[in-house]
Formats: sequence, C-alpha cells, structure tokens
Amino acid sequence: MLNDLIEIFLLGGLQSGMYSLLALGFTLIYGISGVVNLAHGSFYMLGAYMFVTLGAIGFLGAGTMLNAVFVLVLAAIVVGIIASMIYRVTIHPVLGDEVAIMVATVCIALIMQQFVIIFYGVTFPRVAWPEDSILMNTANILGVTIEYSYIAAFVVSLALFGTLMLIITKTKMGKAMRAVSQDVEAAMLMGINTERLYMLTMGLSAMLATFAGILITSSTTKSAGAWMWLQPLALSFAIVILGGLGSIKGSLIGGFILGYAEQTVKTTVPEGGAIVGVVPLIVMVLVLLLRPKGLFGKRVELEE
Amino acid sequence: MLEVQDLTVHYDGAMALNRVNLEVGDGQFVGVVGPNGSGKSTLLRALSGILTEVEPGKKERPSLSGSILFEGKEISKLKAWQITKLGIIHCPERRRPFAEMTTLENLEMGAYLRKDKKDVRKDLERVYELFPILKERANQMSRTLSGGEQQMLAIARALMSKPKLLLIDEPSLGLAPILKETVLKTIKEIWSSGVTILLVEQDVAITLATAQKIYILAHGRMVTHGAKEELMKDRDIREVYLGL
Repeated sequence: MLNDLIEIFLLGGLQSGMYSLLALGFTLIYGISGVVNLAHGSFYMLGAYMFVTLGAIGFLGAGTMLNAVFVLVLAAIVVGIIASMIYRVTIHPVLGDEVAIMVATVCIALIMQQFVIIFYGVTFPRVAWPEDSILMNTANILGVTIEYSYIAAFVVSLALFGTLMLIITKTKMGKAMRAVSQDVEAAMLMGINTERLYMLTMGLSAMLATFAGILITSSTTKSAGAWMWLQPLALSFAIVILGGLGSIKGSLIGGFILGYAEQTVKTTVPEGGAIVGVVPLIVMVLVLLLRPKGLFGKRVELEE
Repeated sequence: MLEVQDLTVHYDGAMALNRVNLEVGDGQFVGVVGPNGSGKSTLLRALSGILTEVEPGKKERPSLSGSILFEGKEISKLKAWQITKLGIIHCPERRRPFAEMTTLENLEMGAYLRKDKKDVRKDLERVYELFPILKERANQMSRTLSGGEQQMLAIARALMSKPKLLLIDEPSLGLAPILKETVLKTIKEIWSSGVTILLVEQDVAITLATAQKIYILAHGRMVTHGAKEELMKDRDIREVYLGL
C-alpha cells in the first residue's frame, strides 16, 4: 500500500511534468491564434522521427550523448520551421473558420502519418539515448525503480516550461503574443504583424511538441511508430480542456492532474498499463459535463 | 496628407460606406460627425486597414473599393501593421486596452514598431506629463483602470506610436462631462504639438468646438462638409444633422 503511494507520487509527478510540456504547445497556439491544432500530436511524432533520422547522421559523433543532445535541439528547430510553413500554407488561409481549421489540421495529421509510413514503413525505430549514457541507468528511490532518463525528461520539461513563461512575460515577442491573445485588433493597430507572429507561435508550439515527443518517448516506450500521434493528441486535448483552453497555468495544473490520474490507474488497477489510454478521455468527458470552461478557462485569454 | 476617394465598403451584402470622399490636410484637425450606424467607425477601420484583416473568429470579411491616399501613396491594399508603420495611428472605439497587461506594458505596445529607444523613453515621459494619472497607475493591470483612465491610456498608447495622423474614434463615449472636457483638451494639445487629427464623434458639440473642418456622415454617405460657420449657416443641416 505504502509502496503504491510512493510509486504514484514519484512516477506520477515525473510523468506530469512531461505532460504539462506536451499540453503547453497546444494551449499556446490556441491562446494566441485561436487554432485548435489537431496536428499537435503529429509534431510530437515528427519530432521523434526527426531525432532518429538526424541522430543517424551523427553530427558530433554518432552514438555519443553530446550528439544526442545536439540532435534533440536540432530536431526541435527543424520541426518548428516545418510547422511554421505548414501553418502559413494550410491554416492561415482559413483563419477565422474554426471548422475549416479542424478539418485542415486533421488532414495534416493524417498526411504526416502516411508520410511516416511511406518513408519509414511500419517499423518501430528506436528513440532513446545512447546505450552507454548514464541516462539509461536506473536509480532506486524509496523502493521505486526509476530510469535516469525519466528524471531528466521531467527536469528538462519544467525548465522548458519556465523558459517559455519567461519569453512570454519578458520579451518583446512574448508581450506581442499576449497582446494578440487579449485583443487581436488592437494588437494589429500597434503594428504587430499577426501573420508572422502566428507563424512564430506555431513554430514555437511545434518545438515544444518535439521536445515532449523525444523526451517522453526516449524515457518510456523507446520506440516510434506511425500511430504515436494519437495518444499525445488526446492527452493534450484532455489537459487543456481540464485546465482551460488557452491558459498556460491551466496546462501546468491540468498536466499534473492527468499525470497523477494515469499513474494511479497504472499502479492500482491490474493490467492498468493497458487501459491507461482511457483516462484522458474520461477526464475530458467529466470536465465537459461538470465545468465546460475548464479550471482556469477564460476561453481565449492567455494570462501570464 | 490623407485623401479618400469614392471609398465604398460592403458588409456581407449591406453597404456600410457609399462613395465617401474625404480630405485631411497636413496639420489639420478634421472631425466627422453622424448618428449611430452612419459608418463613422467603418470609415476609420478602413483607413487603418483593420477592416479587411483576417482574424481568428472573424467570419465576415468586408469588401472595400475606392482609393485611400496617404502622403500620395495608395494604402487601401496594405495590412494594418504596414499602415501603422506609415504613421497612421488608430485609437479605437471603446479604448481597447490590453486588459491583462499593465499600463506601462500597454504603453510599450504602442511603441512596438519603434527602434529609437531613447526617443521612446522621452515620449514616455511626455505622455506621463500629459496624463499624470497614468504614471501613478503604471504597474496596475489596465482592466482595473476607470473608464476615463482607460481613454487616457488609449490616447497615450497611440501617442507612443509617434503618429503623423491620429485617428480617434469616439473618445467621449461613456465619459462624464468633466472628463470629456479633459480628454478633449488633451487632444487639442496633441494637435497643437503638430499631429494631424481625424476625430470621429457622435457628440456634435464637441466636434464643432474643436475641428477646423467637419464632415457630416449619414447612412454611409457624406452629406456635406465645411467649417463650423459654413455648416451653421445652413438651417437644414443645423437642424437635421447637428441638432442645434
């Protein structure tokens, strides 16, 4: 019993941090441009595949930790640029029409899935840190076995979350993002080029999804697959609906609630790992029934 | 400075502006009066480019024809941010401060496009002199400001953009008479500092008291224009449109 509680507390907490990072990008692009990006999970997937593909090139020495970290950042940048361009070509032209945006983003997701199948086949490439890396070792904390990569993923997730908060509150670009999320017309009158800002935001959002994709995959399943975009999409959706669409604070707290809920199921229910995918859906249904605007939902506003 | 020719705006089939002509000379103070729904705000929104912008959640996209010349350059096809960059600054109806940002951050947003940091700081001091209350409220969220303070903030924010031509939409809306006076006095001060002004108002008395040239807009058409004295001479205009 006590062991279970400790396991839920530790593993749930670590997982929660990564979930918050995953949902952050989803809530960011919605809060600023009003786009419900159903391709968010696809950028998560693309990130993992990019990590594999670029990792094979071995810029700073194949198979070294230094190279892996470099490739992590490079993959985020590459996916960010791809996402910006996809946004400009497919979503921006239909901005203002929510239904068209959803259709467009679902199409992007399906196209990317096919793209992955065509280029990589239905294989499951390995997404992990180098074998000899310390991250692949496990630690024993209070009787719970945890891989270092899991802890590292948590720490990096929170660091990235904090970095984004700093960008939004302190930098000129961040202030422009907040202005646009609060009153897009007034923001345009200040001279903000919203088209460029939306492209940047989409790029940033996809970068966060990439980081989440690589960090989560490399510390859990360790393999990518053409269908790996669906589960994170459902998760991000559930988290931001729980936390309130467009709310950054909401994505952090929603991430923790979902993370703990999932871990509780995994630990306490026999064969819990197999049914854990249902948890976000149940949470989503409950929130929509009980408090449709979410915990911190002001709908479009993106608060500090 | 600004020359509008045959400006026509269609909203989803309905005509909001019908072949409107308007001219604002360098350094002039021009007013546009007209009742609710006559197209005053549409006119300013067309001038600042916000009317035809693509926005999240905005379904209808009005169509615009005619020409808008600013300093001899056609601007009717430009994006809102490009028009702002040219120095046409629109101070919108209902003030529209960024509610979840502080007064200071709002003012910084006004200077978004400016690269001259030193002058921005000077201008900040200047607007604080013009509106001392904003300095007191500098670190307060703008949603906590009173209506009058928000109007001052809106004007101050527009000033931070270093306008050549300042478009002001209904600055007196919802303000107590004494506040109206203050706001108006400030607009006059801004004008005397060399900024060209195009003021749109429902309050005829205010406009007559300040503008050098007044346009009367009704049902999307320019009925007439002229100096106060000319307009007052015409009994029909005085009674029907000015209500005096």
